Amino acid sequence: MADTQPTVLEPVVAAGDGRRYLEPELETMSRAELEAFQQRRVLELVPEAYAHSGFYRELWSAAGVDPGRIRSLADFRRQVPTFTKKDVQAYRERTGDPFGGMLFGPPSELTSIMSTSGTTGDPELIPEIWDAYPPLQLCSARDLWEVGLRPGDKVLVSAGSFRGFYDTFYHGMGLVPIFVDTWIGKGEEIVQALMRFRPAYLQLMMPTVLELERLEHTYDIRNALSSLKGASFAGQPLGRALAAKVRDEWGVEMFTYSSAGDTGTCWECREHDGYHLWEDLVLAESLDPASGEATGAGAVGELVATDLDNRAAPLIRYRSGDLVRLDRQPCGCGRTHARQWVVGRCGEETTVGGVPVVLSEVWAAVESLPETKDGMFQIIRESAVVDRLRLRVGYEPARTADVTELGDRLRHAVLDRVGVEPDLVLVTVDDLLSRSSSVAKFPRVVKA
Amino acid sequence: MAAALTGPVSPLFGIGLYLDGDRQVPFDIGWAEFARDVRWASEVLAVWDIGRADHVLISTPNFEGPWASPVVRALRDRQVVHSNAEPYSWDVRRSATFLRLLPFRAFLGMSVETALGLVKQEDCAGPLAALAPLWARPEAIGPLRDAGLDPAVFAMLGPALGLECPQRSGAHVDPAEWRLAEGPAGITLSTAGDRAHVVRDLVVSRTARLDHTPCPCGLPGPRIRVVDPLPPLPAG
Repeated sequence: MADTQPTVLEPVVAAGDGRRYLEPELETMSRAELEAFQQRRVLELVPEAYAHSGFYRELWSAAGVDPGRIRSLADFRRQVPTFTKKDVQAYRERTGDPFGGMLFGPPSELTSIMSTSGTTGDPELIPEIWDAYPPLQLCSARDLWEVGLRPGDKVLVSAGSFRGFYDTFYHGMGLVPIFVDTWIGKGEEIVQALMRFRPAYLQLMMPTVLELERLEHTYDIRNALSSLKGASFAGQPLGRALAAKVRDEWGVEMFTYSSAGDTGTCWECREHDGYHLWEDLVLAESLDPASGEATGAGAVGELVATDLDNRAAPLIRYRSGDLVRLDRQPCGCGRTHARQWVVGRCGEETTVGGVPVVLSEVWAAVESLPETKDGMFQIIRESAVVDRLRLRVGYEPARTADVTELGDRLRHAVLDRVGVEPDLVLVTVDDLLSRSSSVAKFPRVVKA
Repeated sequence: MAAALTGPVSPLFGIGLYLDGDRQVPFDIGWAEFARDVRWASEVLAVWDIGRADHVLISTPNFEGPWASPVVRALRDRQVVHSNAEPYSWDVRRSATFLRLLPFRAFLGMSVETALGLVKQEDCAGPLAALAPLWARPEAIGPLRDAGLDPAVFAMLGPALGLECPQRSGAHVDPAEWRLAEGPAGITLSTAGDRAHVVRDLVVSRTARLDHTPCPCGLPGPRIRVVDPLPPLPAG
C-alpha cells in the first residue's frame, strides 16, 4: 500500500539528489517574504481563534482585544496577550474541558491526540489534525534532508512513540525503517543492528551514548557507526566531553534538536550554529520574561511562539518558558529562517547563599573530572533561593576507584568554577538515568 | 511540507525483527502484504464495531510497527482518533492521564507494567472497564482479570499479529497470510500468503492450544489460546 503522496521529489531522486534544500524557495525566502507570509497567516488565525476557541476568546476579551483591529504583525504583537501553560490548566480546571478551551473544532474531527513529555508534571494534551504525516515528525523533513537522508536510505526507528509513530513519515521521505528496539538497555542490539543493516541515520539519546561508550571494549563502535550520514540528538545538550567523543572518536556528525516552543522542533544544520526555527511554521518572538517587552538582537529572552500550521489547537503567543537567543541573520547554510540557541529554562536559575549559580558552570565543573565526564548531574532544591547547593552527580563505576576521594575532588572543582561549595550525592550514572521520567529529556533541576 | 515528500520509493514497508528462541530474525515486509495486513486489521476492528470518532489509546513503541502499524493504519482509514503512550512503567502516568481526561473506546497493546500501574489507580477503574476491547499483551491478561476486567489478547507471534475478537476464545491471525499448526514442540506458525519473508514451522508457543471450531464472530481460521480462557460463569 503505497501512500498516494505528491511526487515532486522524483526528479531530485532521479538527478542524484544533490540538492541541499528540500524546499529551496521556502527555506531561502527573503525576510520580507517571510514576514508577509507570517502576517497573512496571523491575520487568518486571529479571527478563527476568537470564533472557535473558548480559551482565546476569554483571554483576549479580558485584555480588550478586538480581533477586527488586528491588521498587521505589529498590531498582533502589541495587542494580543501572551499566555502560559498554567493559564490553559486553569481554564481546564474551571471548565472541565480537557483541551483547556484550545480546540478549534469537535474532538471527533481530530486525527490524533498526543501529549507533552510530562517532565515537570502530568502530560498536557496535544490535539492534531493531519492528512498523510503526523505534524511533529513532518516538521523535521527539511532537517533530515539536511542531515543528508535521501530516498532509499535505511533508518533505525526512534524509540519513543508518545509523540507519534515515525514509520509513515519515514515512508514519506522515501526511507526504509528498520524496526529495532533502540530503547534504554539495548546498546548491544543497536550495535548489532548497525552492523547488520548499515543504516544512514538513527536518533541518539543520552543513555544510548553512555551504553555505546561502555561497549567500546567489546565492539568497534566507530566502525559500527560508520554507515551513518548523521545522528540526531534530542533533549539536553550532551556536554562537551561526550559530544567530542561522538564527533571525533566515533566519527559521527550529530544534529542536536530542541523544541520550537512546543509548536514543533528546531534542528541544527550542517553549520552547527544554532537551531533553525522554520518561520513559515512558527512565529517566534523573544520577550523579556519580566517586562514582556521584545528583547534586542542577541539578547536572551523567553521564546514566545505562535503556531502557523496547526489546524487543531494552535498556540498563539505562547510563553514557552525556554530562555533563548534568537538570530534572524541568514545562516551560513544559506537558509534565511531564524536560529535559536537554548540557554535554559525560566525558573532554572538558582541563587545559593546570595550567589547566582549558572547551570552551564556546574556542568563544566562536573565534566572536568574523568569519573564524571559524562556530565550527568542534577541540582536538587526546594526553591530557586537556597542556602546550600545540593548536587546529585552520576559517576561511571568503571572509571572510579574511590568514591570518597572523587567526592573531595568534585567538591573542589565545583567550588573553583561556580564559587559555591556543594553538598554532593554521588550515584552511578545508571542509577541517575533510572530516575529520569522522560524518553529524551533529562531534568537538570529537580525538587528535593 | 507534506507536498515536498516523495512517498515510498522502496519496495519495502520496512524490516522488522522477531525472536526465534533467543535468535533475532530480520524479516522484510513488502507493501502489498502490508496492505493486506491493514485490510485484515480493519476486519477485526469491524468485528468490534470500532469506527468513526471512536478514540483508541495505543501503547506500542515504534519498533513494534510491523505488528501495530497495520492496526494504526486501519484505525486512520476508519477515522478513529488515536493517542499514544509508552508501555514502560515510568509512563503509566501518561496512560492514566489520558484515561482520566478523555473517553476511550479501546486500548491496544497494554503491557503488564502499565496494567499493574493502572489497576492501582481508583480513578482509572471506570475508564478501564469501559474499554471494549482492552487489548493486552499475554502477560498482562492475568493482572487485568484479577482486577475484574475482561481484557482481550494482543499477541506478537513471530512476525504475525494475533488479536482476540469479542468472543475472547483465543487470538485470531489472518489465515490467508499465516498457518497455525500443532507441532511436537508446541504451536507453530508458517507463512501462507505471498510475503517477502517466509517462515516455516516457527514455534510461537510451547503451552498454547489451538481452537479450530468456527468462531461466532465470523472471522475465519483457528484461534490460538496463548492465555487460558476464563471458566464459564455458573448457571443461575
